[in-house]
Formats: sequence, C-alpha cells, structure tokens
Amino acid sequence: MILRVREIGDATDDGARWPVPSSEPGGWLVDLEEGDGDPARMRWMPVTGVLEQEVLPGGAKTLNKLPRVSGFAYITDARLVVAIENFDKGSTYVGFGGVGAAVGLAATGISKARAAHRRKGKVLVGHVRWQWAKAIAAEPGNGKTHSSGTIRAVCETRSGTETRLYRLDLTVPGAVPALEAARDCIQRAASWRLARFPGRQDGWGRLRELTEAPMLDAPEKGKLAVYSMPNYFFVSRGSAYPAHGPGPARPAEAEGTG
Amino acid sequence: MRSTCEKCAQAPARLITSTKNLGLLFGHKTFRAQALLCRECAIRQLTGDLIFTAILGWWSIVSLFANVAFIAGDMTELSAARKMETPGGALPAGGMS
Repeated sequence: MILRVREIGDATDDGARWPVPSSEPGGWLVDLEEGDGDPARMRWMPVTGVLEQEVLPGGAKTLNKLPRVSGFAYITDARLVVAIENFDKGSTYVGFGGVGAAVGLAATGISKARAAHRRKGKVLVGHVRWQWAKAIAAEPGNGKTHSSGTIRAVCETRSGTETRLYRLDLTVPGAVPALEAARDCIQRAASWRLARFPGRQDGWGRLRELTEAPMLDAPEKGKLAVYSMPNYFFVSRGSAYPAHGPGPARPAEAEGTG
Repeated sequence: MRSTCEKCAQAPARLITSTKNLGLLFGHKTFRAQALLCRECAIRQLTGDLIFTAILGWWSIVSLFANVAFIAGDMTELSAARKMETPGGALPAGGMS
C-alpha cells in the first residue's frame, strides 16, 4: 500500500499516492514536488532495508520485506520518501553435497540474472505525506559499523467503514542519527499541517508543540521512541495536495479525516 | 483496523502465519503465508499446510531435521486457531426459511 514498484518515465500517475521515479540520471531518485521545498533543506539518508506491514489483530502482516537493499530516504517539507533501485535480488538456493552445491549455485545465478532483468528501469518507491502521518517512531543504532537504526512512519487508509493501519519501517545504518531524523520528521509534519490545513484547527495546540518537539530519549533495546500526531488524514488522492495558505474554515473533525 | 476474515468476511479473525516445507532431495523450499483468518478458515488452511509438510517435507537431508520444526510451528498455530471464537453471523443449523 505504501510501497510500489514504478517504471522510470511512467507518467500515468501524478505522484499523489506514490512518488514519481526521476528520469534524470545522477540526481534524486524521485521527482521533487513544489511542496518539498528547497532541496538544500532536505535531509537524505541511506536505507539498508524496508519493511511494510499491516497491523492486524494478533500481529502485523508483512506486505513487503527487503532486508538487504541500498536506497535512499528523503525527508522534505511535505513528506518522507523512500526510493530503492535494487529491490529485487532474486533467491539464493542452498544445496548439500557436491551435486547439491552445484545445483544450488546454478539456480542462484539464474535467479539473480532474472531478477536484474525484472528490475531494469524500475524503482521501488513510497512516501508518507505529513498529513497522513499518524505517528513517527525511531530506534537508534549504537553508532557502530554493523549496527542499524529504524525510522517508522504509521498511516491509515479507509474504505467504506473499514480502516487499515499500515507501518513503514526504514532500516538505516547505525551511524545515521535516527532519533534526530524522527524529530526532524515530526517538526516538519507539524509545520506542514499548520501551514496547509488552516481550517482544521483541532489539535493545533499539540501541533504547535510538535513544531518544537524535543529529542526523545533513547528507547529500551527492541522498542521504538514514538511521536504521535493529534490527528491525521486517511491516505487518499483527495488529501494528497492541500491548498497553500489560509483557506475557508471548515468544521474540525475528530482524528482520522479525509 | 480490519478484523474480518480475508476469505469469508466473518468475525472475529486474527493473523495466522502458516509455513509449508518442500523437500527437494538436495535442498528444500519453504513457503510462508500470512493471512487474517477466522477460526474455520484458519483450521482449514493450517491443516492443509500441515498435511503438505508431513507428506512432502521430509525428502531432503536438511528437511529430515528442519521439518520437525516446521510441523511443530504449524501445530502450535493450529492449536491457537482452535482456541479462537467461532465466527458469528453463521446461519442456524437448519438454514433460514
């Protein structure tokens, strides 16, 4: 739902739900939007893994799990974007004994070659626009070479009366200050909400606080430190591009609007 | 958060993880599936996977050992599924007139 494989140069979607992969080599992996702000203010970081899950009774259903990839995450004024080029690496086959090892090696080679062909001209992209963010969380790495941290974004969709809760975990190298990145996300998200949704004044006190959100304490091992938004919009095309500046006041709604 | 079965839309449902193992003489292949299922659908799914693994899972050197763990995992999940509440909204035994 959050992540999707898109072809480079595919202009069938304007990027409301999923970012548009950039067709210009050597620059950003996705096209920037007007709301993303000055590229000099953007924060970017390497991503070594992504995990997309739907939260359900009894646990979380894994929708996409890519543990060893190389891509980038961008934190802009409007959204958190992730883009990964080597999203399909094929399978590794293991065999035992002389014949098994040979068969395994050949099958692995064929699988990797087919994967390279499949991902040619495509990028795995996803974004969480700040109006969709329900919570931002982080688990820092310990700064050592092989450690890793996590940045999590949570959002929700609605179809009829049914809502679905999704979370996107980005694994970043341990040297990336994940807690600082999460604080940056929540501060930008709160500022974005205040600037772009002036009619929706519910939760504004909390949003103003979040524009100056302090750094969270490092959580216990295996847990994440969480910033929660007071309210949020359901993920949809309709809420993707809010108008800029003061607009007509609309009735405030409880959490989860759109 | 959705809470109805993906297959029959009955409630309550919970996330079920089932694993199938296929022994391939010199290697093995594992198939893992997750779904939000009600009690009946979960039992059907897990029983099918358990039978598959019990018949086809042993046929490699590694699987001789690993298959025990796969079967144990599916049996644990099956036991948890059996403790779930029966889905509501089912038709009465005699059907509706």
